[in-house]
Amino acid sequence: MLKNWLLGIVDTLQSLKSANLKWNNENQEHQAALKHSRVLAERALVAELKKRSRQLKHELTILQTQHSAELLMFKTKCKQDVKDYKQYLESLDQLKDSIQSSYTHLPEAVAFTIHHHAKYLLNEMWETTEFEEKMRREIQLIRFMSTVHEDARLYLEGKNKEVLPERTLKFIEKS
Amino acid sequence: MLIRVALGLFASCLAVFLLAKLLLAFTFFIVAAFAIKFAVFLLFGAFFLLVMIAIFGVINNLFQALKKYFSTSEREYRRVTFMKNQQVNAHRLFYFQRLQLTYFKERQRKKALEKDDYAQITALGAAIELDLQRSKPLLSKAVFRQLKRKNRLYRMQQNAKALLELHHQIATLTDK
Repeated sequence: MLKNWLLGIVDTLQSLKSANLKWNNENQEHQAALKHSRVLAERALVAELKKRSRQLKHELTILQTQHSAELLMFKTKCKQDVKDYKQYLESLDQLKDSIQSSYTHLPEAVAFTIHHHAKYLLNEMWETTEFEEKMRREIQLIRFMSTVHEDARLYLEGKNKEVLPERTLKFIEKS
Repeated sequence: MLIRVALGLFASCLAVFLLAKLLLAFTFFIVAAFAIKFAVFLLFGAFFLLVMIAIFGVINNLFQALKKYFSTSEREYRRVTFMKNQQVNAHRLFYFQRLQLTYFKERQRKKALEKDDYAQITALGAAIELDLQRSKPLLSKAVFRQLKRKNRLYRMQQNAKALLELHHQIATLTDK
């Protein structure tokens, strides 16, 4: 009985083996084709990735060149901005000197207030980010500066007999 | 295949143990002792084989993983990812460099403004000092000292508003 049972097991194993062998034999071509197509797909993928990495490298080089050029331009613009601001401050100092030299008895506090207001307008203009607003504030500053110069000129020419630059002070009051 | 061998060794070891038990039952002690030794040997052999199979499996997996990691497609894929990261980093670097330049520009502007403010306040303080000296005969000693102290303090504090008020105060006192 044991012998029959063992023989049955051996038979089953052998039949499984022969079925496996038969399946392998029948599908040999398919397996080879599958292997071949797998290799081809792998090669195609590698080629595609190589192409992509070359493209990305090229893009990176262009990007770096573009960035360095833009940074250089931005740096120059920053330097110019600071220079412009310093020049504005110098012109405001000159404005103060001009009004003081015209109105010889002008109290320092009034001259300081005029200068301070001009500086306030300048900073307002400088710190505004919107272009239109910036332009509006720049015009306001220029108008203020021209009013101060006009007052000084009129006083020097003797057309204005007032002790203080009234038009300038009114301008400050209005704003 | 090796697993089958190991399992076979286990099965035979069990069979030999059973045989040894039977031999012991039939008082064949010497043969039973040999059979037990043989069964133990088979058991150790099976264990050793299983351990070796496990070690071999780990090494094989490791080797396959390394092979895959260094394969051409994986290397190219890593290169592409690296390039993409480089691009992102370039954008980030550009943004922060611009931010840095803006910061330094603003700092330089503020410095110029502070310098100018200092010069203007100093001039105003000097003018107030001059006014005070002129008005000295009109003021009491205590008031004069107090005003002088205030002028020095406000100049040190760079307080333009307070200096203007002080100037106004001196003018009012002098007019009286």
